[in-house]
Amino acid sequence: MIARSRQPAIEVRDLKAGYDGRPVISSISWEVLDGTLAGIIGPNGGGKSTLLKALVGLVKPLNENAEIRLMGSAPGEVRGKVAYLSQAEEVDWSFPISVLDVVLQGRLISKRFWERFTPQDYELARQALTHLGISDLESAQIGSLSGGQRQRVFLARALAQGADIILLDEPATGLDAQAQHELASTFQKLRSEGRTIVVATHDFDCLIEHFDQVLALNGEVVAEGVPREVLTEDIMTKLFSRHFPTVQPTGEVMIHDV
Amino acid sequence: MFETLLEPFQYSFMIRAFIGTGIIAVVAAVVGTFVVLKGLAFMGDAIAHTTFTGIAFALLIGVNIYFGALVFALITALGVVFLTRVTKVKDDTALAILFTGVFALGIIILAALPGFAGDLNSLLLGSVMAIQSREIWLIIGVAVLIGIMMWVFFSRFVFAAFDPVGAEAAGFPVAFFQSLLLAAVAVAIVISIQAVGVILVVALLITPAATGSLVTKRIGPLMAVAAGNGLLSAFGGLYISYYLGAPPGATVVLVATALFAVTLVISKLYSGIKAFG
Repeated sequence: MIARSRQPAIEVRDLKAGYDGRPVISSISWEVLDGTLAGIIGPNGGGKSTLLKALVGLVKPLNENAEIRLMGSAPGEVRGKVAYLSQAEEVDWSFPISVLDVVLQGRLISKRFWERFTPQDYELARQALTHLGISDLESAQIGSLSGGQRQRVFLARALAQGADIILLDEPATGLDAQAQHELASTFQKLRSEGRTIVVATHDFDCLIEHFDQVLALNGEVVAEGVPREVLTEDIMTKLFSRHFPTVQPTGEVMIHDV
Repeated sequence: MFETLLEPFQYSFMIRAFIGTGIIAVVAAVVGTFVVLKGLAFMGDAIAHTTFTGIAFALLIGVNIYFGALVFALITALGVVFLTRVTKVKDDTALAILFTGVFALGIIILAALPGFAGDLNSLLLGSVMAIQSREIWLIIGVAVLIGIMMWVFFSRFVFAAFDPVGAEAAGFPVAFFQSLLLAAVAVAIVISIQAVGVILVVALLITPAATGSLVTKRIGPLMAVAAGNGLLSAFGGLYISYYLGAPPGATVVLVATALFAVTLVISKLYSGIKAFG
């Protein structure tokens, strides 16, 4: 058997991106090979969401020489193969919709705009639910689920879509430690099947235990590599120091600046 | 009893009123389901108010009033999509300034039109008894069009409403389906003006769907309950107005409001009983 060499799933070169002409991230260059479970860490406002949104075209680059390639192609050419799981606050959880109907939405991506769901679409959606161990929730309302279950439903939608790259924006927010680890185990399972998973997260325990690669971001790339090399005291201080006040020997409270 | 129920149908204008208002109420409730779920009641009201100016403008330049109403309704609906997407305007204040300004323009145009004062009442409060056959056909045409649109695009409207960011990231044309849905809302408002007038039209969109949301938490059944509720309000309102001599448009809206209140009380009692086992 000849081992398949891994190809870059995500390539970013010299990206500057932000909102209303104001850059949030700049000089971002990053590469993620296919079949990798990668994390993006950094303070709030450090650009994690902006980078993820730039990868799927929700935020446009501010510089002309920026280059984004997904599976070797321009993002617009492979959109159906990329799933972006929005932050919890961007989704209307009170919407009266069942789990199966949410997963079926993944099938809409590849359809012509007048085509309706076929029995095969239902079968693929149910397979995705079974694959993620939530087939018993098929008829449940999305709003009645726990945070971890909701993330699994959205992952099932990404599977039903046929996504090879799955980007998640802070999926662990509001989850307890056990749910966070269960979710990270699900990421590992999807990674082991050849998918590329990129997660913006604050969950450092899970990063060390489950992830292959970490990008530390604070407007610019502060560090990147395997979790144990990136999650050092030095780099953490660089990333977060300005956000944590410290009490000086004199009693004065200082907000550090990098 | 049976004869009493059939009495209004000896008049052809009443038959037209029942058919027209019934279809209008169902169409308004169906598109109104999305209006309620997305919290767009205020926008619905804004669109309704701008149709008033569309009608005034149509009278001024001598074109069909439905055409004028539709153009203004579509401009408002699609203008709001443009404003929220391009300029990131989220505040209802902007919408309120826009529609009250346009409404005021309509009043000034109407004041300048000689001899229109008599029709102002029917425009603001509806004139369901004056529905003509050609208007019934227009209403049926719109109902069929919106029915087909819902049948084909229903799951897409739901996707765009439920998770617009995730949908757009996957290349799904969210803006197109949001605009299409708002255009359907605009069209539903235009055909509803004949029944209940500019001021009360938003009630036909909102109240039956809000009642449905008290009964079920699934969008398909919610839409069906809303449609049934709209139909019941239309028929109940027309019967009551026929026998009491009350203004028909307002009576239809009042029945819809009463059905909402009764459903609210029953649903609260039901949840209370359930909670106590």
